[in-house]
Amino acid sequence: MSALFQDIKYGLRMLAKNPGFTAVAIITLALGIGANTAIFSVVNSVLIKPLPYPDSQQLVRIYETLPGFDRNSVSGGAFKDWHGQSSKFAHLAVYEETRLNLTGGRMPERVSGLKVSSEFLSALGVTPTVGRGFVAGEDAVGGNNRVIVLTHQLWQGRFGGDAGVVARTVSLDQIPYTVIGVLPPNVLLQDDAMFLVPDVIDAAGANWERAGHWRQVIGRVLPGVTVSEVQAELRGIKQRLTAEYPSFKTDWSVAVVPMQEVYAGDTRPILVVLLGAVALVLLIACANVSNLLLARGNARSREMAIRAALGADSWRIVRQILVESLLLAVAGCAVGLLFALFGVKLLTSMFAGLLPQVLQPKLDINVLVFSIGVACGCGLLFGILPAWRTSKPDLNHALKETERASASRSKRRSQSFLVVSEFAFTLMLLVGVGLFLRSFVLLLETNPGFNPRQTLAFDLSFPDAKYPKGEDRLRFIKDLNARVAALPGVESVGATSALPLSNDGRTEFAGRADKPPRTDYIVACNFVSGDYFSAMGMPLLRGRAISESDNHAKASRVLVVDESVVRDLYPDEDPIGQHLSFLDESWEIVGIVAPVRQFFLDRDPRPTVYGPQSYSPMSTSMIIRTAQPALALVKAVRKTILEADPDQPIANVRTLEQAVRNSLAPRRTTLILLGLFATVAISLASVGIYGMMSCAIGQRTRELCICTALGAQRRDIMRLVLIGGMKPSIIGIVVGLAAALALARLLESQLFEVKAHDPLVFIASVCLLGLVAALSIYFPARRAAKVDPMVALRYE
Amino acid sequence: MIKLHNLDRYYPLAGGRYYVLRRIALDIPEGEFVTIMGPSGAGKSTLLSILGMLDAGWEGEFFFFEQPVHKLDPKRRMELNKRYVGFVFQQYHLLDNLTVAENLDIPLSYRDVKLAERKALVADTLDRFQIVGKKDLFPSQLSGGQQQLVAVARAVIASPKLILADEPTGNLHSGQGKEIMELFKKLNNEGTTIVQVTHSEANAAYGHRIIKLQDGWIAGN
Repeated sequence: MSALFQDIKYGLRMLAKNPGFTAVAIITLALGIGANTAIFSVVNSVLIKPLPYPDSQQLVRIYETLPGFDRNSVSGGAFKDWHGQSSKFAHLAVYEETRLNLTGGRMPERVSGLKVSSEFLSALGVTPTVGRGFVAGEDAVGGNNRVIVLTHQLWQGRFGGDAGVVARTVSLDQIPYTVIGVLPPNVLLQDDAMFLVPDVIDAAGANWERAGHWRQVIGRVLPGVTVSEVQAELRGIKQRLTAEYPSFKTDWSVAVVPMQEVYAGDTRPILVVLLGAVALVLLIACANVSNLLLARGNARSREMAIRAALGADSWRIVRQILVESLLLAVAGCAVGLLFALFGVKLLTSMFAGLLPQVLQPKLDINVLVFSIGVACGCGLLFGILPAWRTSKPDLNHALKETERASASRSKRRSQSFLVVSEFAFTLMLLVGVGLFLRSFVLLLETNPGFNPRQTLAFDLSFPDAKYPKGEDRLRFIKDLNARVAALPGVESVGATSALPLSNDGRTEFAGRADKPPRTDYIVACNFVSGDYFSAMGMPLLRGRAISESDNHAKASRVLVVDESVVRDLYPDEDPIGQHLSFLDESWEIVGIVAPVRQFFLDRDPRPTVYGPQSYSPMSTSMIIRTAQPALALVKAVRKTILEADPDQPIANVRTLEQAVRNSLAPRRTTLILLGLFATVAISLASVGIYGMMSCAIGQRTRELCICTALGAQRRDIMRLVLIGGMKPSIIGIVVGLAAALALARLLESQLFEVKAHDPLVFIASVCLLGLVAALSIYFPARRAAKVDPMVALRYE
Repeated sequence: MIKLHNLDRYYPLAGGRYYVLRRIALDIPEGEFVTIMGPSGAGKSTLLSILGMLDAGWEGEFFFFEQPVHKLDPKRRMELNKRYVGFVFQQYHLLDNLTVAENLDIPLSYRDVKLAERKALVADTLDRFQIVGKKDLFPSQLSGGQQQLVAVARAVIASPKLILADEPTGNLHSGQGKEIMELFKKLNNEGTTIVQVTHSEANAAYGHRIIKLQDGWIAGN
């Protein structure tokens, strides 16, 4: 043990004696380890750490499934079937998202929350920090339904963290609710949910039948019960009750998914790509440090030969070098953790919209252990080659050597091998970034089907207490359309049930009215009023738009459809005047618009139909096309709405440009991070080749001077050095090209309209890296060509 | 102690073998002080490296304390080196980043001597060579003579039976050289076998006999 301490002591002394080398090595490693730690913190939060609920492995989400859709929301009827007949759950709960107007005291505020069945908090295993949760019966008809549990955020923000908030009354959509409890901070997976209220389960209500699907179901399975056992049981229940389900649900089934998988699943591909990228950066950093150690090993070969002559066996020499490598790695890890602190902060803001608050990355013990493990692995990885090389000194040669140190051919080969690795890894990374960048650019150029410029959008809500009937809502919308349209700077105004790219929308079955009903064709449906198409900048291709005369209760049922519907249902016919079977009624097609990317910018538009809002005046978003910067109108619009209804909040104010931008956030985040890693990689690779060339030229000065003395011109020396230096870079680029061709396929699912083997990306990446290599070699080569042979030889 | 028979050392070249040592036959009994002399390139240092087990690329027979070195694997040869051999080099070859005391400690640590014993041996040796005051200095802070003194102290600290000295006074002025040679003589008188390589007739005179090498052959004994 004392020998090991001695090695550590000498190692520290050696590092302290070479502060330049030590600093460069530590910073290089810190960049690699820091980036890995930061990305791993996300992986840890999302994929590794259990959800922050007791025995979270028992938590599952349950979906109804239909062919082609394996995670459909759940009908109230199905939930009731499972709740009544399943024996595998400790708790089973249903919930749905809701947005209600919180009024009283301050400005009206539209607040998101969850309507939940009474077992919701028990299923999660969450206990309120103040007051209590829901009890049985509070979700039953006639039960104590007007109770509310506040989230910590709403409690702090709206009620100032008042400990006496329990039993106070708050008004939601004009209905008084009694506060019964406050949740601990950041405990829900739905970040925007500010409150929980009972979802009243009405056994006879139309909303609780087996047809409509908009609810979510969570369950806590009994200890020892597996997901597949639960799934089998629920499928059995569905089988037994098939006769009672609507005919279109004959081939529907049930899927049970572990809760962790629900939240991890979508981010897994991005995280795997990012983890792969940082792993490459780390490998490049290791290759760089290994190269530095090899270069230093040349200078230390005499020392190792003396040690061997004094009795050190190979293992002692290897251990000495490895101890120094591990010391460097540990120091790199310490600085890397500091980098990671900033990295995690950056990632938290970048992933803010992509991950629930409870899954946001944090530096915890798992991350620390990972970081130290990676550092030790790196220490061994970058130390082993120099240690192995140094452990077999040619004693005869080394002990006779004068001060002039020169690298053996095998050592130069090792250095070249490391440069080859660096360039190969960097090219792989560059190709990855190139593919993502090209996807992103193509996405930016993608026509969403509407014109997002100079538009202002916001959401309205219609509490039952104030707007009990559809006509009341329609009247308000009509009135508001007119008032807003009169504002200076407004070009057109419209309203819709769901704006594109707003994570909102409804889908229904549709089919030709003149053919048998089908259950395999699903359309997105929007119910619109005012000058919706004009405000959205959606060109009407044929026929007419939904007009105000279509928007009253007794108007005939008309639809505007998009080209996708025409392509799918009326490929060889004129659809105008034809009838579509939709919501169990026959609707006349009156117009055709271009397809709109309703849900995702990077996915093909889903067939969409547009009907008059009079048939579904429920949730409403308004869209205004302006002649001036859209956000400048917010104040005037807010004033106009409050004039029309003082209790109406204006929620979720945004421009459609922001909606487009937000929809690209995951890709932008991935691209920014990959770009950052690629920049680090390319910098490290260029430092690597520059260092290797500087070192090689230093060792070959005598040879180059002799060449000059024998008549070689500067350009000959330049050529000699450039060719020698470019060789490992070119081999690295070729190897990297082959590896990138193989690996790019793994990225295919993440790309948008770009082939995994896009020639432009590959050519650009090769050219860029080749240029970096040439520049990195050019400067040492120029220096070599400038050495005065007489001075150098005299010095020798 | 040392018996060499038909020992060859050569490098394979494109045009054939290039011999550095050729048919070396040598017998060095324990306690002898032998000098190897010869012009540059005669193979003196190579012979010294072979005797010290630092060079393994030779052919022939080599017995060391009756043990057939030619039949031993590198690990066993290294064990012999550790147990019996101490080296002194012309360029001193002290480890620059270790203090005088640490330089003395290094051979002991490679022989797995316990820490307490090592400390005692280092203290004894510092005292014996009268360099206690220099124990915390680094080699660069010492004169050439002082460095070689430390190198000799390092060579003897593990009580080797054989000291191999490759031009030990080559970098010293005559006064310092004389001191070192007197030290070798003393060590020899105490029983240590010494084999030195030198160009100096004066230094050779300290030994019992001279082996002359010429182009890899023993030209005189």
